[in-house]
Amino acid sequence: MDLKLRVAGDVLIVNLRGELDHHSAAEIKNDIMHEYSSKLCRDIIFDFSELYFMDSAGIGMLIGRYKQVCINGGSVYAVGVSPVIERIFELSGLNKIIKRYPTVEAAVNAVNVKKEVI
Amino acid sequence: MTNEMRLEFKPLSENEVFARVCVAAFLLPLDPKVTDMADIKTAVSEAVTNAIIHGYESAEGNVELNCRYEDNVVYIEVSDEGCGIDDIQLAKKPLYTSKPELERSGMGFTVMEAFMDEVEVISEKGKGTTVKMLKRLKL
Ligand SMILES: Nc1ncnc2c1ncn2[C@@H]1O[C@H](COP(=O)(O)OP(=O)(O)OP(=O)(O)O)[C@@H](O)[C@H]1O
Ligand SMILES: [Mg+2]
Repeated sequence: MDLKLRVAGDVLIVNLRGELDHHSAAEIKNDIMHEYSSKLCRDIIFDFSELYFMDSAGIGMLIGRYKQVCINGGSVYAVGVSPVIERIFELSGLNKIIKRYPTVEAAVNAVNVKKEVI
Repeated sequence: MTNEMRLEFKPLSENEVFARVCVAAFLLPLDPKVTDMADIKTAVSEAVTNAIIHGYESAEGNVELNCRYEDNVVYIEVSDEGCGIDDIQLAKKPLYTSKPELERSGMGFTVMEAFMDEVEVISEKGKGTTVKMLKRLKL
């Protein structure tokens, strides 16, 4: 699993490349949360455009991030969800808590619009 | 066309990817549709992960994986000789997990049942667990 983290304002952008299972979820979880806390982020955008596999460990990892981000009044966004991973999103109800955008730019814009409204 | 294979490996999380990639490679001669292949890989990953993190936790033993196909029907069996499951009905319930503190979502069995045509769980407390799954590949 290849993990790339980038911060834009108070948004953490997480790029995952490879396969997300119990083994790789355990590997990346702490890195994501360390960056999120130390850079005082609010929202997280997951870029899944290079994610080729995800099982229920990915569901648990995303719900875990959702809960932590909620505490700070933030949201979790997902970008580039492939049809195969989409099925996991539907089955698990992740669709209801994670907003989807076609590109990282679109998700960043949505976060900024939300802040202006507030 | 029929074929059969068996794998045995240590209950290490590194072997989750090993197991599902082996099964995918074994099924290549059937030329499965992308979605069928993804479904099977995901179901194998769920069963193998459960054997590793719940069956054995930190105990010794091996995970056994049997895979067989007859024409377009794929049979998969994942077994462990770990702690076993007390209440199979409860374990299969969506969102039920015995390890919520570890960010488990309790969706493993639900995923297996959604992605495979048949799923059967055989388990005995203290003896171990076998998950038998069947999938009919789309032609
Ligand atoms: N091989 C096994 N040996 C012992 N207990 C098991 C085994 N497989 C599953 N279980 C029990 O069944 C429960 C439900 O399994 P399931 O895969 O649906 O959820 P999970 O593994 O807890 O979470 P997730 O798969 O979403 O990460 C587990 O929490 C565990 O208590
Ligand atoms: Mg599981």
